[in-house]
Amino acid sequence: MNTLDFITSVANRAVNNPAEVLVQVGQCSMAVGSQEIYRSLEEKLPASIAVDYSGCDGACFAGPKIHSEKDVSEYIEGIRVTSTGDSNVRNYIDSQTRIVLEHAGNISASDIYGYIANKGFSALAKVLLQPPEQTVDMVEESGLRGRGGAYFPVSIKWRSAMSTASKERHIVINAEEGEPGVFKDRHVMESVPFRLIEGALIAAYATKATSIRLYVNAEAHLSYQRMLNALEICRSKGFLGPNIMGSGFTIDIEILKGAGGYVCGEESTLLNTIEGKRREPRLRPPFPTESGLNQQPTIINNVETLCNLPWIVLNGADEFKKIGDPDTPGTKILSISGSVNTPGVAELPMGSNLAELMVKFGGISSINTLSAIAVGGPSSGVIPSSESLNLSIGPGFLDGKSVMLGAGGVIGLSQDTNVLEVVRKLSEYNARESCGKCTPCREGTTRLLELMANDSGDDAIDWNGIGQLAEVINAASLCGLGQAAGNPVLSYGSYFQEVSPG
Amino acid sequence: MEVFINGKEVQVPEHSSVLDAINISGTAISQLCKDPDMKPIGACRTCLVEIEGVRGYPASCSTPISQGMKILTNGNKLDLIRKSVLELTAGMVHSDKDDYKELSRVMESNSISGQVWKSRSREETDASNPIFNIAMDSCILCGRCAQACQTGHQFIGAIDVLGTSSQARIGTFMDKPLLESICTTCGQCLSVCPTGAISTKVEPAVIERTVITTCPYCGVGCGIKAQVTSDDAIVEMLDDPENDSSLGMLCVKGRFGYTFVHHEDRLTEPLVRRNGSLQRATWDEALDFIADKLLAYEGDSFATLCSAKATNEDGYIQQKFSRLVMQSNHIDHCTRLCHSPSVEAMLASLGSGATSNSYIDYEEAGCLVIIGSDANSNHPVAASRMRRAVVEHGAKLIVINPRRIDMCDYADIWLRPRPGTDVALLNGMAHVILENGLADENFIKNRTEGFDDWSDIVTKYTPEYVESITGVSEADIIEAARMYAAPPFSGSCLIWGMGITQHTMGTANAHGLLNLAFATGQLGKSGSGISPLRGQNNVQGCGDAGCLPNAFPGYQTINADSVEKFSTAWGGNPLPDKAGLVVTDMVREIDNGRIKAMYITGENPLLSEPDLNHAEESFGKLELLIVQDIFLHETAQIADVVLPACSFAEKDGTFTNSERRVQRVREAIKPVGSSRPDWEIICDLAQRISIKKGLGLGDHFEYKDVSEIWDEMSSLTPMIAGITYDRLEGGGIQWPCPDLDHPGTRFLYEYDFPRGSRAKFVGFDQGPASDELPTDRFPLILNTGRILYHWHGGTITKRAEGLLARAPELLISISPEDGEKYQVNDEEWITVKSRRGTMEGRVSYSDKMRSGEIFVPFVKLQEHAANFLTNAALDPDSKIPEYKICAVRLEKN
Amino acid sequence: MSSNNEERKRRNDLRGELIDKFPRDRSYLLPALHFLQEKFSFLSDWGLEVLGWHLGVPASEVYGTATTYTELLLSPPAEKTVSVCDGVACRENGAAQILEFLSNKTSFDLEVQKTDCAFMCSVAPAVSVDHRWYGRQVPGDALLRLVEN
Repeated sequence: MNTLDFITSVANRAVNNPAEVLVQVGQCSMAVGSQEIYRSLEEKLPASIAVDYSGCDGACFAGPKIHSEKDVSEYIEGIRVTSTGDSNVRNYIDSQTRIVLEHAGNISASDIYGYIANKGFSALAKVLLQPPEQTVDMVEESGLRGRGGAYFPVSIKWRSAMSTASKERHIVINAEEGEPGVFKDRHVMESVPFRLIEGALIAAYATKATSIRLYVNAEAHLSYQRMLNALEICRSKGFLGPNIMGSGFTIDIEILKGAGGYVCGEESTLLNTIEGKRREPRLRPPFPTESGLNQQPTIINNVETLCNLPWIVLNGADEFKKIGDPDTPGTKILSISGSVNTPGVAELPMGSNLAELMVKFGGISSINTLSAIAVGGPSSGVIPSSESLNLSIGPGFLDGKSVMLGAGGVIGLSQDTNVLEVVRKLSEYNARESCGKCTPCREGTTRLLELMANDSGDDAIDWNGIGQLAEVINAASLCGLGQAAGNPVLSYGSYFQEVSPG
Repeated sequence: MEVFINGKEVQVPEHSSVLDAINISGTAISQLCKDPDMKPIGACRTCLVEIEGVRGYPASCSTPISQGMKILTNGNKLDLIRKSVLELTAGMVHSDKDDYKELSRVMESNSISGQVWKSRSREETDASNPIFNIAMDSCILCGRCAQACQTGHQFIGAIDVLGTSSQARIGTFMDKPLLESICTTCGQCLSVCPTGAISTKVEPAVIERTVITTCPYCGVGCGIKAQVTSDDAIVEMLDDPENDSSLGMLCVKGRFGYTFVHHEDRLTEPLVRRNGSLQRATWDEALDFIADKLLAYEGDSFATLCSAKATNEDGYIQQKFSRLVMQSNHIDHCTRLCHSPSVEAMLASLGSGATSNSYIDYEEAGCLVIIGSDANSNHPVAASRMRRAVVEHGAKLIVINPRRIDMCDYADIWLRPRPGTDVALLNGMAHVILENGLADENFIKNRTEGFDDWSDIVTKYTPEYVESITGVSEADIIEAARMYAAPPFSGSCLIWGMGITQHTMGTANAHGLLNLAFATGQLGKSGSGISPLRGQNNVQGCGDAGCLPNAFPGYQTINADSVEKFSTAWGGNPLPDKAGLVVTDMVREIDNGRIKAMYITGENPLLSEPDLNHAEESFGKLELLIVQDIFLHETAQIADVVLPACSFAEKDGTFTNSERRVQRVREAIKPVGSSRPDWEIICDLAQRISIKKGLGLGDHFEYKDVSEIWDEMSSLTPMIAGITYDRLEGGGIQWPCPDLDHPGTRFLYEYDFPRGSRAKFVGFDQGPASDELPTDRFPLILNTGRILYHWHGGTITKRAEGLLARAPELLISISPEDGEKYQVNDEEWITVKSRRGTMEGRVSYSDKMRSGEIFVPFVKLQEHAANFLTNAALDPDSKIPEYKICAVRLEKN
Repeated sequence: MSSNNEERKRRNDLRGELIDKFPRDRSYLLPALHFLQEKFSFLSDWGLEVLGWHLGVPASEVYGTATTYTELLLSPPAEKTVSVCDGVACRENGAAQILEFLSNKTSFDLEVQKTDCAFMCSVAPAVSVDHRWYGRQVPGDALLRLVEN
C-alpha cells in the first residue's frame, strides 16, 4: 500500500467522534487536582458521555480546566474547575499566535485519530511523497531557527550533518528542558505528543537520518509517559517503525529518561549521557553535526523546534515568514511566572515587546508593578522592568549585554523583591550545577558567591571584582553554560548596583 | 602545514593541534591538563589563545590547526584571563606546600606570586597505599591521573573523577581507600600528575642525571629512566614514552621495584667457605681458589647455570667459558623451568623458539586468546596493550584458565578446563575448525606438512567428547573455535604462559596451540601470531646467546659444522661436540655423582626447583659449588665460593625481550661495593685458569667493553648480525636483523619458516591430566604461579620495601566452598602439606578459585614456599617440572 | 561463610537479569542505573559492581558516572520526604513563608528540604510530599494536613 492509500484508509477511520469531555491534565494542573477531576468523571459520568484527557492549553493560572460544551460540574462537586470557555482563558489563548500549541488542550493527548482529524500526519505524508532535499530547502526558506536557546538556523545544522560521508546519521530530540522557570516543552509533550513525533519524522526523512532518540528530562514524568504511550500507538498504527505510512521509510524513536542536571541540556553533555559517560560537556571541535553520538554525525533539535515543522510543511515557508521577526520568523513559546496574576505558557510572535507581553499575559495592571524581570534563567540575567519597555524577544542578547531569552522563561519580580537575592539564587544554581570539569566554571562560580556574600552589608560588595571574575568565567569556560554563568551578576552589576538595596 | 605563532611562521604536521604548533615553535604556554602522550582533556583552561577570525579565546589543546592560521599566545585581555584562571587554580591547593611542580613553574612564568583566593577546603588525603598518597589538597582536578589509569594508558580504571561542582574529586569505586580498590600501584597516575598531589611518601632527592635503560623484571622489556643523585643513588624510576615495547607505561615492579639495588643485603665482596663458614675474601683469593679447584673438573663433571636476568653479553661469555675453557656443554638456564616446552614445540614445528609477533599485533588483532597466562600479574604492561585491543579497538577476547583471573572481566568467553586437560580442549577446538570449514585450506596446503596424521588424531575430539574430559561446555568450545578462526577483523593471536607449559604434557599443549595457528593460517601476518610470554627480562636473550646444552648462540645446533665454526672463531681450540645436560637432568646427575662441580650465576635453584627438600639434598652432594649473584640466597648459602655480581643498574649490555627486541642496558650507578659485572668476573677467571693450564686462551677473554663482546657474538650469529651498539642508541631492534640496513622484524614467518617452507603439524592425544592426582589424604590440587607484587621466588622483590609492603605474606587462595568444607577461615594461618613437604601461609577466600583447587604463588615469604610441595615429575620432551599440579591437604595450625 | 554463598547467589541472579535486559555496551549504563534504582530504591555498591562486570566498565567509572547525576541515589532514600520548591517563581509567591511555617511546626519531626526549581512555576508556590507536587500552597492547616498524612 502506498502513502496515499494509507492516508485515505486512516482518514476514513479517523472520522471519529472525539470525547465530549476533555479534562486538561498537565504537570501543572495535576498539582491542583486535575487528575482527581478526571477520575471522578470517569467514574460518575453516564456511559453516554465519553471523557478523555488532554494536556494543559497553557492557561495554567485557570487550571484545573475542562474543555467541553457540557456543564459537568454536578459530577465533580467540591472541586473548583474552570471551563476553557471562560472569558479570561479564551482571551489568554486567542490573543496568542499558536503554531506549535494550536491543538494543545483541545484534542486528546492519547487519541491518534483525534490528532489525524486535525490534519495530523498530513504534513508527514506530504514530506514522504517529495524528495528529502525539497523539505530541507523549505526549512531553509522558512528561516526557522532552533528554539532551545541558541536560535541557530535549523537548515544549516541539518546540512552540516548531511554533508558528512557517514552511513549512520542520528537525530536527538532535546527534551531535557532543565532551565529553571521554563516548562513549555513539558506542555507540548503532554498535550500534543503526536505533533512532536510527526515533526521528528519529517526531520529524519529530510536529513536521511538512521536513528532518532528522544531524551526526556528525568523529572518530567508525565511528559515521559505521554510520549511513551504515543510512540507505542504510532508503532501499532504504522506511523513509526518499518515502512512508515506505506512509504517504505523505516525508522523508530527510542525514548530515554535523563538522570538530572542542568548541564544535561547542553548538546554535547546530552551525547555523553546517552553514551553512558559522566555528565559533562565534550570538547569542540568536533561539533555534534560532524562527530556526535558514537562519533557519528548527529542533529540535536529542541522539542519546540521540531513541532514547528508540520505547520511549515502544510502552510509553506512564506506563511511562516509572515509571522514574527524578518530575521527570526515564527513564534516563541514563553513560560511566564513569578509576581504575575496569570502565570502560564504563551506562544507569541518573535519580536514581541517584553514589557507589553508581561502586562498582557502576566495579567498585571502595569509593568511598574514589577521591579524587574528575570529573563532566560541562570544563564541570563535580570533587567529592570523600565528597561523591558525597549526590549523585544529574539535571539542573542536582548539588551546587547548580558540578558538572553534562552528557552523563554520570563519571571516577574515584584517591587518588594530583593533583586540581589534573586541574582545570588541564580548564581548559586550555576555553582551547584557546574559539572566540575573546567576550572573557571567550577572554581569561579563558587568564588562569585564568596564575593557576593559580604558580611559588612551589600553596599560593601566589590562589584568591579565581581564583574571581572564573571567576565573571566564567561570567556574561559569550556561549555555554553559556563560561558553564561557570569551573566546574572553582570546584568545586576550593570543595572542595579547603584540601586542595590541596603 | 604552516601557521603563525605570534607572527612567527612555524611548520607543523597536519592534524596537529594549535598547542602542538605552539610547543613546536618553542613558545612557552601553560598546559596543565594536557599530557604529551594522551588526548586533550580541556579542563584547566590555561592554554587559551586568540586566533584571527575565531571568536573568543579557544583552548589551544583542543583546537585543530588550519593552513595559515594566525595564533596569538599573548595579549592584554588574554593574559588577564589566563592569570585569573591560574589564580582560581591556585586557590584549590593549600599554600603550606612550597613546590607544586608544573603548577608552581606555570605560576612563576605568569608572574603570579602568593594567593589571591584563600585555599578552599578539600577532601582527606588517601594515604592507604604503602608507596604513594593521593593528596586532594594539592589536586587541581586536571583529570590526567584518571585518564592515565583508564584509556590514556593502563586500561585499569581504579580511579575516576567523582562528583560535580565543588564536590568534584579524584577517587575510587564508592570512595574507598585506594588500597581497597583494584589499583595495581603501577604509579602511572603519579607519573602524569602536574602538581605532586599524587606522589611517593618519600620525596625523591635532587636528581643529577637520568639514565635510560631497560627494566630488570619480566620479559615485556619496558623502557625505564633511572633518576640518579649526585651521590650515585637511584631515587626514582620514570617510564619511557619513546620505548616501542612499553609506550610510556610501567607496572608497580618496574616503577617502584628498583630499590633492591641499594638494599643492605647486597653482596659487596667475595666469600669463600673456610672451615665450614663463608668468609670474606679478596677477588684474587676467591678467583684463584676457584681456578685451582676447577682444574680438577674439566668436561663432563662440570656444569653451569646461566642467568636469564643477566645481559646477552654475560650469557655469551659464560657459555663460551664453559665450552672453551671447561670443555663442557652442560649449560642451561631457567627457561627449562618456564618455556622449554614452547621452545621445544616451536623448534620442532617451525625451527625457531621465539615469539612470532609483537605487542603491536595484539593491539591490531581482531581476536586474542590468552591461555594459561595471568598476564595482568606477570606481564602487566603487555596486558594493558591487550586490554587496549579489547576496550579501544573492539577485539574479541577468549580467556582459557582454571582460575577466574582479572583478565576475565574483559573476556567475551572464559573457558575453565579441568587442570591438565588442555590437549583435549585444543584438539576439540581444532575439531570444530576442521568440521565447520573454518580452516585456511591454502595455508595448510602450501605452507604446512603432517596435516593428515594430525587431523586423524583430532577427529575423535568432538565437542561432546571434549566436554566430558575438560568440563568445558560444547557450546563454549564451538564458539571459541569460531571466534579464533574467524575474528571480526584483522587476525587472531595466541598468547600463553606457564599454565600451558608447566605440565607433564607441556610440549603437547604447546603443539596443540601451534596446530591451531597452522590450521587457521593465523601466523605470518600483522594482527596474528603466537606468543609465549617470557617470564624473565632476558630469558629470550639467554637462549639467543647460546646458554643451552644443545646449541651455540643463535640456536646453531651442536654438530660438526657448528663446532668447526665456533672452534675456528675461538682460536682453533677444541670444543665438546656432544649436547650437554639440561638443568633438570643435571640435578639427577648430581645424585648419580656424574656432575661434581657447578657454577651458577643469577639463579637460585634451591627456590625455583620443584620438590625443594630433594633439591637441597642433591646440591649438597656437589664437591664444588660456585654461586655468582647479588644476594646471599638459599643456593649461595650452601656454596663454596660466592662472588658478588653487579645488578642491571651497574653495568652496560643488552637485554632481549619477549618480542625479540634487543635493547640497551646502561650503567646508571657505579658497582655496589666491589661487585663486578658477570662477564668481567668470568673473563678474569678464564684467564687465570688459562694461565694455570697453559691453554693460551687469554686473548679470547680480553674485552675492552661489552660492545666488543656483542660484536663478536653478532659476527657469529646471523639473526643479529645487523644489530650494533651504535644502532641501538636509536632504540631497540627486533631480530632477525641480518644486515646493517635491515630495520628489524616485527613478525616472523611471512613467507617461510626457519625449518624450511613448511610448518609441521604435530598431534598428541590427551594423556593423564597429571602425574599426581588428588586422593583422600591429599584431596586438593595445588596450582602455583606468580603475583603482581613479587617476581619469581622473591629474592629480589622481597628486598624492595614497597613491593613487600603490598604483599608481605604468602596467601593461599581457596574457594569459599572449600573453606567451609575443610574448616579453614578466611585470613586464618594454616599449613599445607604434600607428599614431599609442607609450607605455611594465610588463607584467602577467593571467588577466582574453583572448588577442589587452591593457588599459592611460588614466591618465598617468611621462609615459606610452594616449591616445598611441588612435584618433580617431568614432561618427557622438554624436561619441565609439573609446577602446576600436585596433590595437597590443608592443616590447621 | 554461608552468607558468602548467598552474597554470590544474589550477585549472580542480578547479573543474569542484567544480561537479559541490557546488551554488553556502555550506552546502556544510564538505563541500567535507572533499572537498579527502581529495583532497589537506590544504587548499592554491589549492584554497581555487578553492573560494571556486565557492561565491561570499571566499577570506578560506573560509580564516577553515577555521582554526576542528581536523580541517582547512592544511599537509601528517606521514609517520607517533604520539599518546598525554592525556585525564583515560588519565592515570588511565598515559598519562604511556607518554609518558615513548616519548619516551625514542631508537631512532626520531618526534615523539610529546599529544592531547586521544580518547573511548577505556573502553580507556584509548590510543595512536594513523597515526590508528588502540590501547587498554590499557602501556610495553614490544609498544608499541614497535606504533609502530615
